[in-house]
Amino acid sequence: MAKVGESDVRQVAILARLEISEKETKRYQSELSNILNYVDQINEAKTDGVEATAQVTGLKDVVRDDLRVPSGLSRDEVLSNAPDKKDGYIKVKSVLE
Amino acid sequence: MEIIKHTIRELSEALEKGELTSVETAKAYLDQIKKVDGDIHAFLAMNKDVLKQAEESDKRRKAGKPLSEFDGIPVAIKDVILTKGIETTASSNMLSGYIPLEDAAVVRRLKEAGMIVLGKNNCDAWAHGSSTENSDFGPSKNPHDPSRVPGGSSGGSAAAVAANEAPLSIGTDTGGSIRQPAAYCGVVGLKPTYGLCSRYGLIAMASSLDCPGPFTQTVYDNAMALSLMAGPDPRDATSAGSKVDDYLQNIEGGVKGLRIGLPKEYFAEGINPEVKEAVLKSAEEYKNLGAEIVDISLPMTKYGIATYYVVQPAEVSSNLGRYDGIKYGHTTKGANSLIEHYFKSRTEGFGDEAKRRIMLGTYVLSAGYFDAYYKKAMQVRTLIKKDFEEAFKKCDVILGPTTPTTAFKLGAHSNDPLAMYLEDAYTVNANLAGIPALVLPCGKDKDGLPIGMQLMGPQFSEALLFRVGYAYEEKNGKD
Repeated sequence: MAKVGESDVRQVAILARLEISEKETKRYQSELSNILNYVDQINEAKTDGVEATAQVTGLKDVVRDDLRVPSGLSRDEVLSNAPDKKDGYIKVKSVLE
Repeated sequence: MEIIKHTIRELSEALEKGELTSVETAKAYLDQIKKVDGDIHAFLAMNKDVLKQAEESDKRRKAGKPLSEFDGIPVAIKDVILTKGIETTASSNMLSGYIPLEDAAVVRRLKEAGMIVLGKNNCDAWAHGSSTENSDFGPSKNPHDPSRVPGGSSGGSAAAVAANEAPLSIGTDTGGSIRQPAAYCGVVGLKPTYGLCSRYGLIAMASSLDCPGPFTQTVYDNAMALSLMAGPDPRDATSAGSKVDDYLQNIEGGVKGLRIGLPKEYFAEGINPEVKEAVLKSAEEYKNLGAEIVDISLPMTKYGIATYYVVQPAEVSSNLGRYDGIKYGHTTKGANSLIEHYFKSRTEGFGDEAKRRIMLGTYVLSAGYFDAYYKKAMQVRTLIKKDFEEAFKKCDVILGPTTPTTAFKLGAHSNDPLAMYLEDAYTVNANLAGIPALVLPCGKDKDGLPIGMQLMGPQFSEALLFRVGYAYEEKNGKD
């Protein structure tokens, strides 16, 4: 039985901001199910009371002084990779209809 | 000897003595790239100012003011690492045409030592893959057999050093992306301890796992390169640069009295007999050099890939969330609203594998599945880390294979994502535990394809790994 349903795939695609076709929905359903079936073996590991490791450095609460650090970049440079711009601003589609 | 056959150490000596100029050196590598890269395809964008920068380096040396002993030595940079003014795409159409405004921290450190960036190395798009076949700009080829993959994701980086197109290249390793291609291409590759080299300026794949590291011809060169790359960086909050060691001081110290552990799980089912034999033979050689070989067990090894394929796609889905087609990167022409703009730009810009990982990562992080997958995987990650801590009570370093097989044919795994993922079975655990791992060649199979051994040590034990690797290389010669 497929582990992930077609409706799950559609919902995840919406969360991830990806458009997927009917064909892709079926493909992802099968691929994600296969991978998750493999992943399921982690459930064999006994983890009662085991702390979660999110990062391995042992560093905690690394902060810097709350100071302004100039980038040294001009406005034009900062905008140089933006696909659409106008009057020194990045242009986007209207947010409200 | 031909210039391009030189090690970094030899180049440095020749430049210091004035037997070689930086311009001659740069020209030799550019010629070699012109000659072989049509077949190998290790490079994407090139630095247009190589010769100009080489002239400047020669001037500095002439004036007696080189920036370091490495001034004027060329280096190639994986395309997921930012290089100021040189197109950087992560081998993805999403970033086609993207020109970084600054250098990654590791690139900056190399340039401050006077090294000259030749160009960008091809890789699997976003570093997702184990063959470079997932590059949007076509695969790289293995210099030992062009019908085979160079490995991945840093396949172009490994191929560039193997084909003498660069004496040094910098890759990244999230689950094996430096070590597997180093093994497949017969070069030396290091995945440093997590945090030793700054991640600032890497196009992030999985932030709790990503490590930049060097590819070189020899272990000694690798230690030299790490000395330049490692160091603290206030712009990377996970930087542990204060733990930088002297990697050359004791490199000739030998292995006498060291305990080298052989984990039984790394020699079990699935490993190619020729790979197994080559690695066990190198263990025998270490014994002859005075090391003590001890049998150890890493029982959590079997959960490595499964844990990795929760943690990694989760972080990937989060890191790739920034590509919205607005500030930089591919932008759609066909959207009527902002939300449609996001959907279309991302759908058009990302390739299949990136989408698969975004989908998988979003799924395991979504409400209802978070505890079952992500939290559980983070707990198993703790067990994997402890597994190594226990093992390092019984031995000083761990020796094992890098990959179950030698380089596979182009196309061999292309229809089976899971088979490709299993390529990393012996490498992902070092990333999950944050420990360093050094890969060096230890023979060839019957088809003449390189086999790489992998040495793993506790966090920040790079100096020890170099010492152990160097002892083998000295005995057997490079290659």
